[in-house]
Amino acid sequence: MEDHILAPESDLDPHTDPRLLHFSRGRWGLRLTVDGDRSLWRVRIRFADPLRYPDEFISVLTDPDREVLMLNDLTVLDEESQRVINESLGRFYAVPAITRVRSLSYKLGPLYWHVDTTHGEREFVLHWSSENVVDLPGGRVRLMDVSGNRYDLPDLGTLDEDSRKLIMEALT
Amino acid sequence: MAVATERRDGAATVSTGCNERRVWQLLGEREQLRLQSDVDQADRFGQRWLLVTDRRVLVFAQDPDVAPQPATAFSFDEIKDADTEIEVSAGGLVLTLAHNRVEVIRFSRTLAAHFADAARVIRSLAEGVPAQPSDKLPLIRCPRCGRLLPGRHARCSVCIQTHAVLLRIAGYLRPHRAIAVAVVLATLGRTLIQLIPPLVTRRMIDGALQGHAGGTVDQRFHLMTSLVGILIVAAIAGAGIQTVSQWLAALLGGRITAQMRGEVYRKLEHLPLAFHNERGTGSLLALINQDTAALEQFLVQGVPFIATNVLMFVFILGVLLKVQWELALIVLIPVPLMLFGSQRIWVRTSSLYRRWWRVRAAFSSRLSESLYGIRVSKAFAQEDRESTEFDQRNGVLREAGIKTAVTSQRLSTTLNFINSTGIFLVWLFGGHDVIYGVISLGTLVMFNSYLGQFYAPLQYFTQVSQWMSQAFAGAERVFEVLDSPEEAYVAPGSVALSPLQGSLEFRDVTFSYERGKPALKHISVSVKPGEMIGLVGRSGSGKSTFIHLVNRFYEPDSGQILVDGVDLQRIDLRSFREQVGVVLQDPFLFSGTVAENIAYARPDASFRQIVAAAKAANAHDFIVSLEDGYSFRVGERGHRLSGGERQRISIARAILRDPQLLILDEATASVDTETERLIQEALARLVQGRTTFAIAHRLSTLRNADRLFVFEGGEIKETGTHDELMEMPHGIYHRLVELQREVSRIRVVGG
Repeated sequence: MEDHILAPESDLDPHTDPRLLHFSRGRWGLRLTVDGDRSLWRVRIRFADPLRYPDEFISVLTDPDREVLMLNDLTVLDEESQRVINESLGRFYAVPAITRVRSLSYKLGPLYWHVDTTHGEREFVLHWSSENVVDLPGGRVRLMDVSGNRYDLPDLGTLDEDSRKLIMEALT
Repeated sequence: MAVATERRDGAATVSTGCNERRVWQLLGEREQLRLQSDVDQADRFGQRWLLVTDRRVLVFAQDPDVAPQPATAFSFDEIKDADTEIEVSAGGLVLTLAHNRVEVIRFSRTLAAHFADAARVIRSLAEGVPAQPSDKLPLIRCPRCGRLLPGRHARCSVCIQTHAVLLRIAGYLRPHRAIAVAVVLATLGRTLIQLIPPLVTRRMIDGALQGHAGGTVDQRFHLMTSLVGILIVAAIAGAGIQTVSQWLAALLGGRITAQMRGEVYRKLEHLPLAFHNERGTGSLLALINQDTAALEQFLVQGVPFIATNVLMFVFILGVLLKVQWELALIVLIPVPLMLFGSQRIWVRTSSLYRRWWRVRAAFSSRLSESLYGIRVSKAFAQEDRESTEFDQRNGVLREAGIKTAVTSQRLSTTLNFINSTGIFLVWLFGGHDVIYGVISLGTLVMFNSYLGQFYAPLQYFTQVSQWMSQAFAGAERVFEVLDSPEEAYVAPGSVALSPLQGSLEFRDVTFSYERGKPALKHISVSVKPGEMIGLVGRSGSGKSTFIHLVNRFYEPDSGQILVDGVDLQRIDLRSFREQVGVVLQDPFLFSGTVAENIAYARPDASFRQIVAAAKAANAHDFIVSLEDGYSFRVGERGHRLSGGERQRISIARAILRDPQLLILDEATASVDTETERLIQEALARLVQGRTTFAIAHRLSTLRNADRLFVFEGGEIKETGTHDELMEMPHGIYHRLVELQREVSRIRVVGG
C-alpha cells in the first residue's frame, strides 16, 4: 500500500506514540512512516548531544534542519527501525580512534600527527585549543584537525609504550 | 582540464594534466575533472577516484590509468542533481537520479570543498552547461615539501626552517648594528677580564706565598701587593664593562621587541577575519604581550650570557691545555654527558613551555571573555560559578607552571651533579700531580678556579635553554603570524574602482566557513546601482554571510562576485572598502571621544562635517546634551552610551564616509520604538542614491525595499518586492510575515 507522502515541513504531533513509527531505508534516503499511512521520505537522524548523551535524545529532522520529533528510547521501535536508525547514527558519527602514534611533532605552533586509527593510517595537523581538543568520558580526548576531521584519542593507558611516550613528550 | 590528485592521507593538489586523458579520449569522451578521494566505501582511509567526463560520472576503485574499469558509472542523462552530504568525520557525493539517490564516493572533511566543487561541476554538466573546476580550492599540502598545511590560510610551518628562526631573530639586529657590535666588544672584554683572576691566583700562591720564584720576604710581599692591585683593577674594569654591556643589551632588546610588536600588530590588522576566527583573541593577545616579552628577555639576558660563556669555554680550554694538557683532558671527561643531558633538558623543557603557553593562552582567553561578559554573569547571579571556573583554570595554570619549574629544576640538579664529578676528578688527579711534583699548588688552584667558569656554560645551560625554549617558541608563533598571507589590499593586476557605481552580481557563489558545510550555496543574483535590497530569512539562513562576502571579509569557495562588472577579487580592496559603509546591530565604538568615533573612517573630516553627519543621523541633539558634547569620552567599547546612541553614532560614521555601497545589519534590532523611529529617519536619509543591503528582523522595516532576497538553508529561495512575495501564499516570506503578525498579536493579548 502506497502511503501518503508528507511535505518536509509537515508537523508531526510530538506526542505521537513511538510504536506507530516505522523507519526504513527508501530510494530517497531514510523514510519515516507514521501509523502505516503517512510518510516523511527523507529524514535525518541526529543525537541532540552526541558527546554527553551518545545514546539518548535522538532527533528526527527533515530538510531544511527542522526537528519533527525526538526519540528518547529506541527500544520501543520495531527491529528494522532500530537497525536503520543505528546504522544511520553509526555512519554519521563514526570517528576514527587512534590506536598507535607513529610520530608527533611541533612545527611553529601546529602539532603534526602521524597515526594508525581504527580506520587506517592517517596524517593530520592540529592547532591546540579548547575548541579542537575536547575531553570525553572515560579519559578519552576528541581531537579536531585543521580540516574539521575528528579523531578519538583513547585513555593513554590503552596505548603502547612508544605512543604514550610520544604523547607525553609533546603534550605534557 | 584540472586534475586533482589525492594521497592516502588526504592531500589533494589541483593541477592541469594532459597525459592522463588518453584512456577517455579513446572512448571519445573528454575528461572534465578527476579527483582522488581519501576514504573508501567502508569508511577506511583509502583511495577511490572520481572521474567526470563530458558524458558520464565514473568512480574507480583503482587509478583509472592503471585499471580503467569503473566500479560504477552514471550518464548525465540520468543525473538530476548532485550534492555533498557531510558527516562528523567524512562525507559523500550524492547523485539524485530519476528514481533514487545514490552516494557514489566518500571522502574525509579534508576534501569536502573539493568534492563540493565537483558536485557543482556535475550539476552544471547535467544541465548541459559547461563548467570548469574551481581554481580557488584550498591547498591541502605544501607544494614544496608535500607536508600537510596547518590550515586553510596558513603557510607550511615545516618549510619555515627552525634555524631560520634564529637567523630571523638575528636579522632584527641589522638596523642596530652599532649597538650590537658594542655589545659583542663589551662581552669579549668582560670575558678576557674574567680570565685574569685565576692566573693571578696561581702567581700569588706559587710566587708570593710559596716563593718558588725566589726573592726576599719583602720582595714576595711587594709582589703580593702588586697582584692584589691587579685583581682590584680587573674587578673594577669587569664591573664597569658589565654595566655598560647590560645597558646596551637592554637598549637593543627593547628596540627589537618594540619593532617586532609593531610588526605583529600591523600584521594582525591586515590578516583576514578567517585568521582571527581561527586563532581567537586570547592567544593573539598572549602573542603580542608575552611572546615578544620572552624574546626580549632572551635578547637582553640570554644572548649576552650565551656569548660570554661560549667565549669563556674556548679561552679557558686553551689556557688549561697550554698549562697542563693531561689534566685539561680529565676536565673534559664529564662534558659529553653534560651535553647529552643538556640536549635532553632542551627537548623536555621545550614541550613543557609549549604546554604552559597553551594553558596560559586558554586562561587569558577565558578571562577576557568573562570580564567582557560580567553583566551577563551578574544578571544571572553566576558570579560564584564564574569564580569557581576561574579557580579551576587558575589551578591548571598553576600546576602547569609548577610542573615546568620543578621539572626544569630537577633536570638542572642532575646536571649539576654530573658537573661536580669533574671537580672530584681534578682534585684526585691534580692532587696526585702536586704531591708527586708534576705541577705546582698554584696551578691546581688555578685549574679549580677555572673549572667553575669552564663548566658554567654547561651548568647553566638549563637556564639558557629555558630562555631559548620560551623565546624560540614565542618567536615561532610570532613568525608564523608574520608569515601568514594578508588580505590582498592591492593585488597585482588589481583595479581601483573610484567612484563606485554600485552594481553588484553574485555568479553561482558558494562559500563555507568550515570545509564542506556551505553557508551559502550557488547564489546567483544581480543588483542595480542605487537599489535597496532587503535580506530576510531565519537566523543562520545565510544573510550575514552574504554581506560578509559583499564586504570581501571572506572569499567565495567557488563562483564570482562582480562589482560594476569587475571581479571583486581583482578590485583594489582599499579603494573598494573606502566606498562601503557598514552599520551593525551592535556597533563597536572605540574608547575616545564622540567626534573621534564619528570621524573614525574619515579622520580628516572637519568639525562642521562631523556635526552635519551627526545631525543627519539624528544624533546631534543627544550629543550636545552630553556634558562634554562632541568631546565626551564614550568609554571602552562605548559603554557610557546607550545602545540607541551608539547606533546613531555608527550611522553618523557611515554618513560621513559617504559610501556608495551601504550595509545595514539589523541596525534597529535592539532599540526602543522612539529610538527606532529616529534611526529609521536617519537611515532613510542615508540610503538615498546608494546601493543598500539591509538585514532586519522586523520585516515591516523592509517594506520599502526595492527587492527582497529570501534566504533559507544558505540559498536564496525567493526574490521580489514585498507585495510580490506576499502574493505567494505558500512562500517563505509570506509565512515569515504571518508568523510575525501572529507574534505581535500574542504580545498584544499578553500585554
